[in-house]
Amino acid sequence: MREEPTGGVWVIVDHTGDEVEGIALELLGQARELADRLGLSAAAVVLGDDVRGLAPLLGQCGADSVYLAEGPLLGAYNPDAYAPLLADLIHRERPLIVLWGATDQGRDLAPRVAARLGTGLASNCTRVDLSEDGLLLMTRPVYGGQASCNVVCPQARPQMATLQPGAVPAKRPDPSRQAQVIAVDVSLSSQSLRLRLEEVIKIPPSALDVTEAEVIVAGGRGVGSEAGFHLVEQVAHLMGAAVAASRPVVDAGWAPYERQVGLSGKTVAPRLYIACGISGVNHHVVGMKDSRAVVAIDQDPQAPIFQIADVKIVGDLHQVLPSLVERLRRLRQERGTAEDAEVLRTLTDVPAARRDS
Amino acid sequence: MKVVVCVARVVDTDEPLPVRSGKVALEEEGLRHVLNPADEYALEEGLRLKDRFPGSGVTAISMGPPGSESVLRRCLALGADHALLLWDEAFRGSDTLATARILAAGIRQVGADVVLCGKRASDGDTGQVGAQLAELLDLPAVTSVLQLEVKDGEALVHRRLERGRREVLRCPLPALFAVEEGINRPRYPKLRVLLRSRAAEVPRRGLADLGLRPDEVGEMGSCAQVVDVSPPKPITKGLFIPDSSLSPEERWEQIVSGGMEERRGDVIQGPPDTVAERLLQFLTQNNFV
Repeated sequence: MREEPTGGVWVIVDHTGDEVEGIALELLGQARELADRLGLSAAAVVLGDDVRGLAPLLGQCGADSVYLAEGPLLGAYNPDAYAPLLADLIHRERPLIVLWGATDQGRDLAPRVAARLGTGLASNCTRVDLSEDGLLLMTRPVYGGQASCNVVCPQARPQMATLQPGAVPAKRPDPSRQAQVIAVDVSLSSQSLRLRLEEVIKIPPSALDVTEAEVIVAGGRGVGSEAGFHLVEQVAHLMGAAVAASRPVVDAGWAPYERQVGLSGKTVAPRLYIACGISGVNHHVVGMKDSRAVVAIDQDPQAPIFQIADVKIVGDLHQVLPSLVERLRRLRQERGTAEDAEVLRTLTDVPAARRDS
Repeated sequence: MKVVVCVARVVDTDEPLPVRSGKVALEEEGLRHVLNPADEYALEEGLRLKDRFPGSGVTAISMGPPGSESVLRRCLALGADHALLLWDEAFRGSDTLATARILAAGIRQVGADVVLCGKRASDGDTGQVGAQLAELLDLPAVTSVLQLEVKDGEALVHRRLERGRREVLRCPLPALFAVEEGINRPRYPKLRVLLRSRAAEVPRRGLADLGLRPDEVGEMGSCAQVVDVSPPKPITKGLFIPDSSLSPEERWEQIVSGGMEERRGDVIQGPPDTVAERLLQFLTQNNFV
């Protein structure tokens, strides 16, 4: 029997600088469970600039120790800094398993570190488990989702996997738990960084692709006209949400095809979907039924959209939406931050379809 | 400028595939193979560089069995100047890292100012080879590229991040870029070039030509092993009974789409202002505004 490394089960933490991303907490729950079954410790690894404040939560969510690598050059993700640092750390501390989030960062970073360490990696996993002989069994979709395959990494260590967000539920934080914080030596020179970050562009939510949006306001046949659809656009603009449409609206030319949600359009699963004047025929509903919360506004109390709505508003959208626009506008005015002012300044009275032509 | 585009032959995943439980791979017979869709965008990006910088050459390179010649011919038809197939029986069973090793050896021999890859292969869907190749070649690299602009020996690159954010990165050349699908609109082949490509010789290099050791490639050089492939397990849901008031057609559609779970939400009715106020309350309470 070969001797296995005893460095434990690691999670590479995704964070925004101030907050730990949900995926990292999900991974920690998974790491905790694997570590308990293997009789090993669980550790979280955080790279960033001044991120000490994240350690307590990571401890509460299951980490026995937190490796902290801090430095001004680690403030924004740069593979030229992150990859060698992590490869060194893993090489030195010898974890048995390393879990990553299948996020922008994890998908870029994990393969690089795997290449540096000469170990295997299974990406986009939906599940990890232990096989009968104690290997990490990594389950991932292949062939465009037509099959799933199980992958193991029998020889090389650590065994590494990136997991899709939402694949495992996060555990509730236990306030009595505490993690030991281990500072990692960071010796980096800015000359070793070949990529230079020029700027981060934030796409205005109304222009954001509907599949990427967290909140969507959608209009259907019930908007009645281009002007009616513009009410939907105004609500979306004021909420910082993306605009979507059902097919009749797109066919009428009030919204471009790229905004269409449904069987012949895009499939979305935002945190909130506000359906305005959408009756809810199946062709539309299949494209949005996985939305976390659904608000429906329609005149017909029998409209099928209400069957899948969490908030059901029976009323005329041509009266409800202007009132909502007014209230949202007032809310922005009262809050009065620079962002609010910008949103109010760019609120237009002209429908988008007409603006473009 | 020397541009190398890494391409792969993949199983066409737009067609239903004969997936059987317990097998390690699909049975090859009857499968349709195509140029990996993501790689078409990478090739197009390479061809655009050639259009912009006269005198540039585009080489399409692929690691795969002899059948991969067909996708390399397709690249020639689309406008690539050269094609190179990397294959040896010893390469069979390579995981992403072993594949990257083979490609790296090939690219070192050809030489490149810009290496382009697709975001992912549509069949294996790992999305790892690009980043691993960059590490092995020690090239600066950007993945998830949405926009690429090359000027004065460096590149200005837009990288896609979650939640609609984009990073603009400055990157010196030589470098590697893994491009997103949809970054451009791939061209159609010209008939003259298409016909010529069908007779073109596709050179092949093997283990010894590339100076690789047998234990670096193929099954021997791979860490990750596929144990089995099976049809995806459906996420189990409660028994779904379609609404009997619907037409048969609609009921059938509901069944096929997996059924919609009814949500028991509150009904809000009344004068528009009251309704709007209640809605606003819901939005603020749930942190949507």
